[in-house]
Amino acid sequence: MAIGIFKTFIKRPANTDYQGRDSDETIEILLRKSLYTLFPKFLMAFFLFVAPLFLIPFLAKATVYKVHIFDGPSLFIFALFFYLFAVGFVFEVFLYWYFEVFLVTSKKIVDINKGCRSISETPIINIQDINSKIHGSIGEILNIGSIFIQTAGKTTEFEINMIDNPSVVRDAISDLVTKEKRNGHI
Amino acid sequence: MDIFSNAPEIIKPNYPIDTEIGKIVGLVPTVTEIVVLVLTLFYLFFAFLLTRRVKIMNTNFKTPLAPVFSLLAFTNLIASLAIIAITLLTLIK
Repeated sequence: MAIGIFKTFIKRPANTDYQGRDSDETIEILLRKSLYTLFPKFLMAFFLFVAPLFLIPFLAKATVYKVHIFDGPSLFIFALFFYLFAVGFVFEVFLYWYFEVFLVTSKKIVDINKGCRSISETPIINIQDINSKIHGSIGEILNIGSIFIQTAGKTTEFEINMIDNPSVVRDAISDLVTKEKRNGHI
Repeated sequence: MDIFSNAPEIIKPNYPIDTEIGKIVGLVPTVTEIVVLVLTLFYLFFAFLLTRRVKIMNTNFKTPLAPVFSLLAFTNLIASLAIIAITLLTLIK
């Protein structure tokens, strides 16, 4: 389960639902951005957790004319706040990554963005074309890219950036769309 | 680490100035606690917003971890309240 929460491509995710799902609709594919997108922020978080280990002893020893500038309680409170801020930062970063998902269901594709504040969906029947693309050297090394889904609806294109294994994902979505259109489930 | 330890003897201040500087330096812990208190009050607002945001996220997209996120957001809020209480107690002492 601990590793499962970091998965970026899940087929038939268990115990998962979204607002607006029909009773006869099933979630077939769940996509999240690559964990690589979290790397810069987790690096920042690492700095936030490690910095007090050096800063606090330095401040504790700092004196002016042999008078200590900071006392124990003030440094303790400062450290508490610093770590609270670091934990809050990590929590928010993870939340925004975890809840920014792209769903392919038996009837629609659903794009949930910005911490569930922006939700776009379109029926599978509107999908006309699916493309994948890998950008840059980092993309080539880590096999990270984008998926572009052309639709006939009001939202003409869905773009999902920084996805792991974009070719595999494109193929999975394409097969699912073909299967659902052929079976007439939409 | 005394930041004036390398200053030559002739420019080191006399005793009355030492007392004044001592008084000013003595205020630094109190000022630090007040600054932390203000920052924690701002953080409390952020923590409250986070609990509401988690509720919206869990409503719009249901996952097995929904109770965990709600608990973590609530714990974050309580922790910020606890730090405010500790800071106030330290200031009042």
